[in-house]
Amino acid sequence: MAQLDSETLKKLLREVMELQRTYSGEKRNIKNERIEQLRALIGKYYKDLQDANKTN
Amino acid sequence: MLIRQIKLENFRQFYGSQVIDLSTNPEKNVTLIHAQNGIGKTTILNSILWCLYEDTTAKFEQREKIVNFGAEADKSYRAAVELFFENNGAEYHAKRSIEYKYGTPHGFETEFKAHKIQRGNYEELPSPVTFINSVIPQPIAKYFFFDGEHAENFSAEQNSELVSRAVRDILGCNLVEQSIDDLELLDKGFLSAATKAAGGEKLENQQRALVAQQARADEIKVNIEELERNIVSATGQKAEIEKKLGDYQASQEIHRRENELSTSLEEQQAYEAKLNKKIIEWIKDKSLGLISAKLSSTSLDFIDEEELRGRLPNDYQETFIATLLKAAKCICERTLEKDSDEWRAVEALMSKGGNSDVYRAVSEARAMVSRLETLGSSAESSLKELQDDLANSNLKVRKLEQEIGECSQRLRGLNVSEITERVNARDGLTARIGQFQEKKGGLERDLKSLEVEIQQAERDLANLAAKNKEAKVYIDLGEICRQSKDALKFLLNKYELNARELIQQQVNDILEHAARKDYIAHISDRFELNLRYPDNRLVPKSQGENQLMSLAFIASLIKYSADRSDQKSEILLPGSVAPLVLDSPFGNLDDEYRVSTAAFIPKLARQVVLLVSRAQGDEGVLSAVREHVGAEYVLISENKEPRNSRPEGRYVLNGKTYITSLFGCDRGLTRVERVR
Repeated sequence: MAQLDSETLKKLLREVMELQRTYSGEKRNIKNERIEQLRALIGKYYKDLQDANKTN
Repeated sequence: MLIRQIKLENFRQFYGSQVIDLSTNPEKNVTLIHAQNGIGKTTILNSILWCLYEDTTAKFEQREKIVNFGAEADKSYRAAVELFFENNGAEYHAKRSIEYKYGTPHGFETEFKAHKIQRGNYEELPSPVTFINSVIPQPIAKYFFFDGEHAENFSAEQNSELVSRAVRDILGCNLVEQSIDDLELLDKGFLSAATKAAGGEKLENQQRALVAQQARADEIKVNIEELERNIVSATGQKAEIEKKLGDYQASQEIHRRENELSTSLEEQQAYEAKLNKKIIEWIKDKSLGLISAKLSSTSLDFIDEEELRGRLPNDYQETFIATLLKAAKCICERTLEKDSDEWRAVEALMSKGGNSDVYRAVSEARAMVSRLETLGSSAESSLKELQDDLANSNLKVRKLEQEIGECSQRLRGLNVSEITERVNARDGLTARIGQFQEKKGGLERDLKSLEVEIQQAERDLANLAAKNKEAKVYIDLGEICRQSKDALKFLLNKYELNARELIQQQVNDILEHAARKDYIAHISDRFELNLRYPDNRLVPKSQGENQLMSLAFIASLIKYSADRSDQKSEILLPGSVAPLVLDSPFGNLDDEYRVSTAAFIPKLARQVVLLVSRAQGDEGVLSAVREHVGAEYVLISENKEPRNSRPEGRYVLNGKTYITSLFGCDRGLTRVERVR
């Protein structure tokens, strides 16, 4: 099971919130786009986790 | 943010261009706007919301009709609101305009622009919406631009959703909440993808079963929340009834006291009767002594004096005179010739001469007068004692009668006939609360076992999916989503708890200054905002104190937002220092509370705009805010129709009379007139 350490989790949360801020305000009806960006972000962290596991 | 000017152009009932310069003086931070109902107070509030966010308050009627009807009649289909404001030391201008494309509200275009003003130059900002949201985030704007008529919503019977929303809004939770929702959605998507990747009917069935279980769990949670609200409501009603029954118990105590007082009164009246009897006896026994004090004193002096001189009785005793006459000799030894002048003179003494009867009479008279004199000397003091006793007794009787009267008055205020009904109602509520709790307990047990089943199902599903490599990737991605979501929920709860405590404390600080009695506002774990008496009983929701609590809650949100304005947070939106625009904030408050509320409103924000009707802005309210008023306006309504019997609305402001409803005018409109 994928488990992020606390520092990585904090970093991820910061990026999640940054993404939300980016999509708040000007743009309308961008939920799908926002979700796609979030999916990509989660995917990136998963990949980093896999890479770290391989290295270790 | 400090708003310097609001400029309205054909906006709703404001025809043409109307300008309101708001006070920016920190010492006189209140701009007071008077208007009769229906003339445009709420429109001014909404003009700000519309300009900044293209939004209006929930109950703003016909919100799609922005362009003034008179302007439309002139074939001008454009309206606009401009705000000139200062933020963090810089000057800005925001303008939203609307144009009807086809001459009706059914097709329109809006435009929003914001500029930074530097040395008279207007520099257009590239992202005006983002900029405005950085000044006052839209979710919290409704607390700064506030329709006071809706303040009571926060004290409604079931207010937890509104209160929780308000605390979360002011805390800047919106993006966190959106993130949690997004992560949850992604998690479900990953699980679904894992199921598809792993294939197999069994897995799909299990996933469907899991979704159904989750839906059932959500339903149970909703039912539990509903039951909890019912329990709170029934407990509140029960507390009220118990208070009234407590009053009944108090009535028994009053009745007992009334009986005690009546007994004391009877005793006192009996004592008073005795005193009166004693006074009558005194009059009989001693008044003669007092009345004859002068007489007896004079009489005794006279008797003593006359006795001393031997005149009482006369100098000559009868027997002595008879002896002289018999011997025919005078005292001086001269012979008394019978029938001579000397003889007749001595014989005449016989009629005045004393004898034993006279002596006895004088002696008795003397004794009696002496007795009267003795009686007179003690009579005065004994009468005074009796009179003092009687006066004291009178006082006691009057006091007892007064206390008995008060007891009766209090007893009359209690409707004893309702008591049985109340006892029945209380017992009914106790039974209902018991039923709710029993049902809630059952649902909680169901939920617990369902959650265990869901966890097991998730594990089974994950185990099945994990046998497939592709499915395992989706399971792991879902796990990262869950970890992020749980971490955000944890942070949100922590911030919420802190915010709730600070806001509750602030509400109580305000109530301490504004409320007449000791009330304690409490925000429960479930964000129910209630007002309680010091003995923890709920204050009935219908009372003015709850309106006061709602206003104090708004004030506390604003203060909390200002306190957060310079706090940096990675997940929360920042707070704001913004003007407070209050439309009719006093609702159902009584006169006294209006005044005390008006007195604390200027302290709520750096800039305050107060929109009041005549009823809202009576003399007491105006006196309470007057020293803080830096600008004052009155809205004048012009009507084409004749006046007939309609009121013209007369305001006397700053020594000048304003007629606020004019009739027989060229067109119907509202205009703004500056008072000072």
